Amino acid sequence: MSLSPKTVSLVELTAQSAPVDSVLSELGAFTRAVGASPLLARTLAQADLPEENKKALVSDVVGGGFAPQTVDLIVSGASNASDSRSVVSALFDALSELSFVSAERTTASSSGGHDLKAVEQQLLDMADIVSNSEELRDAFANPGIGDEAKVKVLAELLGSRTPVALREMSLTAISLTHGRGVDALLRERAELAASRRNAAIAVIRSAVELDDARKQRLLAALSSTAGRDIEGRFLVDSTIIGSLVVRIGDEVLDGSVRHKLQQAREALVGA
Amino acid sequence: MHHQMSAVILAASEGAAEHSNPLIPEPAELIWGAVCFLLLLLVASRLIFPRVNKTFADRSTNIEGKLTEAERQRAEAAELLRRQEALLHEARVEGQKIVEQARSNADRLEDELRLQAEDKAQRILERAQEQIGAERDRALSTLKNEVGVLAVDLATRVVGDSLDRERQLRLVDQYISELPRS
Repeated sequence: MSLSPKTVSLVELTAQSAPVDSVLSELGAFTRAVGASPLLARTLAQADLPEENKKALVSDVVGGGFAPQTVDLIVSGASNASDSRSVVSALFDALSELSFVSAERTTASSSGGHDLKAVEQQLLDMADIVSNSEELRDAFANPGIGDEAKVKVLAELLGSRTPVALREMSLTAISLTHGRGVDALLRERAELAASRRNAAIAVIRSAVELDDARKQRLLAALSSTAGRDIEGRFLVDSTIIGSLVVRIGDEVLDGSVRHKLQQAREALVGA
Repeated sequence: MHHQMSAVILAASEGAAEHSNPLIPEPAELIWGAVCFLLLLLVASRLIFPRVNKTFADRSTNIEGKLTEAERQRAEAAELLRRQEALLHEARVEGQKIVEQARSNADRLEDELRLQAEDKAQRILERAQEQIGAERDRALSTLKNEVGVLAVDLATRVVGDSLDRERQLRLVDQYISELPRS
């Protein structure tokens, strides 16, 4: 995620002064619209077009219904994109940033609601839902179904009680990936959220279900190894035969029996 | 002639009558004879001798020319012969040189061919050895592979079956205890 300092400060300002949820909704909706309209994306990506014109264009497109902060954020976020293809990606980054910053502010003001850790958990849960539902994965991966229809399906699935940040990020993830790899993108965002609070997400596979005491011990040991807080996602995977496989970001700590047998096989074959 | 004869016979009969020696010619007869002889001599010297002489001279010139021609031809033949002999000598020397060269060429060619043949044989041998080596390595590695796969498959089954929950949890504990601490 690479946002210009200007966009970052705009996000901060918005998180302080505006009704964040409505800005998030507007930003998400507009990002999906850009994803559906290459012409809009191209126009916003034009470096030589003055910001005033872009703002006028955005206001024009949405019929003047957006908060001014949203329009500012859209124009500033789109300026981070180098080409029309990455405009959606840049706007998604701005959306993520706003979600995270507002979550952080919620924690700071400790007025309940969704703190960053909760956003992270929600993102991971969402990613797991997509990963584990073959039906959903197939529907999302189907190139015959348009992005709009996919967004509609997911919106219905999420219902109206889903937190706005999660909802907008999930829906926009479809626009960005065209449905393929939504879960991976959401996990990546969760990892970004975790890294903001100097934590990391560990995906832990074990051959058998672990008891809570062991989970806690493992997480403590992993925190000590990684030098960061560890958010654990536990999965049972009998194919590893025994022991654990832990993945933190790009790093894999594979202690599985399967891996050891694999090594033994390689040693035998390579000898 | 008849007149002359009859005159001589008449004179003889008269002489026989007057003189006793018939061998002595009458002076008139001598004079006529001399005159006729001179006339004959004159005619011959004027008409016949030059022609005879010319014919002789022509013939001798002719013969001399033929002699010169013969001499020239002989000289030419001798020159020709000399040249032929020189050529023959040259040819012989040349022939010897060619034979010499051919012999040395043949020797060299033979050496080259022999070297080539040896080289080729060596290469064929080396390639065959390489192939044999590669074949052996391949067979060995296939065998190793199969043995390894079999062994690991067997181990996997044995290990999987022997891992009850108790052992599984012990493995997890071991994993936790082996995590590097910073």
